[in-house]
Amino acid sequence: MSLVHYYPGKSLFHRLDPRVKMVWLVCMFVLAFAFNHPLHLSILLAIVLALWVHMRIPYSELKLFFKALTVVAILTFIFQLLFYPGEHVLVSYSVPRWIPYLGGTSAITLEGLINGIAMALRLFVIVLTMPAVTMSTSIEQLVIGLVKSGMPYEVAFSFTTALNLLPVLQGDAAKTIEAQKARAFTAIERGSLIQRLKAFAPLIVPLMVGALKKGRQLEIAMESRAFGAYKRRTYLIEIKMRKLDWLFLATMLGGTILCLALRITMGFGVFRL
Amino acid sequence: MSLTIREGEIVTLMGHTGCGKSTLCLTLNGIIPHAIGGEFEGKVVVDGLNVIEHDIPELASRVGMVFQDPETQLFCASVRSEVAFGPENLAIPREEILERVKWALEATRLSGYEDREPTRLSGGEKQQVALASALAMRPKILVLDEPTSELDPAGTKRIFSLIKEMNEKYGITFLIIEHKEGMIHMSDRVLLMKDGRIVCQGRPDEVFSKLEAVRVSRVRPPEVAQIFYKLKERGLYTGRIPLTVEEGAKILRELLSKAKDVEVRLPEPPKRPETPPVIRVENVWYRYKNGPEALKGVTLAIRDGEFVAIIGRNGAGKTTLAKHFNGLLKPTEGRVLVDGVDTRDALVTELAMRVGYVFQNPDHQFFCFSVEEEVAFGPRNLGLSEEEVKQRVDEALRTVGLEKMRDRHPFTLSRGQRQRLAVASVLAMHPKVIVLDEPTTGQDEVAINQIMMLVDKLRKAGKTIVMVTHDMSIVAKYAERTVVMCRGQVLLDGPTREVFMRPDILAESNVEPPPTAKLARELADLGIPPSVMTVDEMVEVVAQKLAG
Repeated sequence: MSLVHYYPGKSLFHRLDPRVKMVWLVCMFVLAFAFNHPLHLSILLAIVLALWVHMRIPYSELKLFFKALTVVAILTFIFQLLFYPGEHVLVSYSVPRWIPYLGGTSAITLEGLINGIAMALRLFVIVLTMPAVTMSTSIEQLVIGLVKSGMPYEVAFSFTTALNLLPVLQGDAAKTIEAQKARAFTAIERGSLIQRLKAFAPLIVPLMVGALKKGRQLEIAMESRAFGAYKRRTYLIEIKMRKLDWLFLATMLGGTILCLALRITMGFGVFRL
Repeated sequence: MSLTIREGEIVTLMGHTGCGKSTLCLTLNGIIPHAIGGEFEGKVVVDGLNVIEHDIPELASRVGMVFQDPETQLFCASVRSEVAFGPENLAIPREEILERVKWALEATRLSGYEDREPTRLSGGEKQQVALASALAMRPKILVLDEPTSELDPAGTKRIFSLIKEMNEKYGITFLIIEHKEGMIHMSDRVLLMKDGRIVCQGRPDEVFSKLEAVRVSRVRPPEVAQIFYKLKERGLYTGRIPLTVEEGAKILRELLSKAKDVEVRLPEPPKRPETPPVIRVENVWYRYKNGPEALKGVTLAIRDGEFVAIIGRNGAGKTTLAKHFNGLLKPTEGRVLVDGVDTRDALVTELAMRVGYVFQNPDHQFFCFSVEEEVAFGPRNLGLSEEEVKQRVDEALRTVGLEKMRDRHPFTLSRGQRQRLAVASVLAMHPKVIVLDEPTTGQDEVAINQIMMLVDKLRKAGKTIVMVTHDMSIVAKYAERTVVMCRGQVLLDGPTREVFMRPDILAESNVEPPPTAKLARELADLGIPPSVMTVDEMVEVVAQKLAG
């Protein structure tokens, strides 16, 4: 599993101009925060999921990620459900008084339920949107997209090479986990949640050391190939907005602006009891 | 330090870890002192440019660099964009870049690889891409910092032949940090460094005839040279020191022509009693998730107290097989029995206390804040009392010679010390079997000898040793049995001596016997037993012949 790693493909989305993909990212983010109605957020999620299916990236690449995301989403939901204040009480419950902050009577409310669902959906939308862009765009495309959008190329490169280093670090972490296992350490696989979280702490030291070392080596390798020599450099890849790109961009921007306008004027996508 | 390199030369730079080799290389394209600070005195002039007066990009088009680790020098999504990266930075017009890319890929025999992803290539191919990327900037000089240390013999050979070709065809000057024997034979000049100074330089044969300089710089001389050092020591030879198998064979031929025709034989190794197997691998198949089959029906048994080497090209399944020994991987089909227990039914803890695994790169296997904690980690997981843990830690640190380092942070140790710490941390779990994955890669001669002496000591103390390695000299010297892997199968399995007498079969897995074994084959007609494979054995039989 390497979430940010480019996964080559021939889908329509793969072939879109990287700038258009970045605008899409922003639109999804804006809408995800503008809506708080579970129905509208579900539609956004359906769009993102449809895109994943369309990109034909095998589910096995995303399985672990999906699992982790589901756990976080469920935790978010439970938290909202228990503690979100509201008027339409579904169930009352009491927490012992000696627990700070939470002690006293409390209630699960309809507002909490709805809000919990909305938060979990929003989380899914936002977290699944980002890798859809990075996995469908090669580093070169991403760089030139960022540069053409006005970012200095040194910044664009350091950003994308950092993304590139992530899978390497992921591999390093896997090796360390293996080494722990070989020394009879089983908490990561079999321990309780707390034990597992604790077990990840020792991974941080070798990972940090590795990341610093590798970052440094990468920097030397790039400088040795004249990185940053001139203000302007040549780009082997050229990007150009094609008809399809314009069409996609127009639909997307139009749709988003329309949604926002409706949201402001008549509360479109806002949940009210 | 003062040094002159002439146009068109191939210069090999050798020396112990930390002797300043890499530092010297980084001054040539101005990374030192421009990007990495420090105190810099004196002058470096490259192709007429004083490094201190010109910036890195300007120097980058004259001096190309290739580093050791492919992971951190390739960062693009395709071979084409990787190779184009340098020229792009130099703001060269697009058409010319495309031309250069084409040329650089041709020169490194990578035509047709344009759209491949660098991360999915083999180690050797990745280094070819790194070479092409440097070449595309049209430098006069290429500086290579241990370009083959992560490669198998086949990949190494490919890179070496490319170096030769690029030097002859395009007149490129090479400065190469390299420890492998093959490079010495190709060099016009060898430099030996020690503690930031050049202690000796000259033609390879001149340098390697200066025994004292070779010793202090802690490099491994070619095996054939080692044989003649020892013959000299014994007063059996007085001439110049040859480096290659051919030269060695010629000289020995002359030397032995005067000897009487006596039959020599190697001292019989002490017969070991047939011991029961500790690990049994029965028709094991293994397939990685979404990957190809890495093991295809492997059957073998590792007996108690044996020293077994596993060799073969990268991707042959050596590490995959080794990881089955302690249950890190479980067979897709077939079974592995450790001490009679099926690894699929065993707990991690059970297996970890029977089979210790020392991984290839020590940096990934430390996660504690002191040497002592690191060694105590395993025994604690076994649930031993603190008293017992302490005792085991003391014992393990004493065995590997790191008692004085117990409060240090693992990452502050030298590479060789870290490797020994890795051994100590599995030793403290008192395993019967110790598996070592390439324990000598990337280390200097002194560190290699230290780790091998340690391994030998453990074997003599009754441990079973399984070692994955590419270093045939070490295999010949230490392993009594060798398993050759090829495409997920066992190609050969037998006493090391017999395995090295089958160079035809070894070639299938791109393995070559050590130079001494080749030398023995060359001289078979003179009565040198073709089973000779180590320096000491060769010296012994030659001495017997001459004494005859």
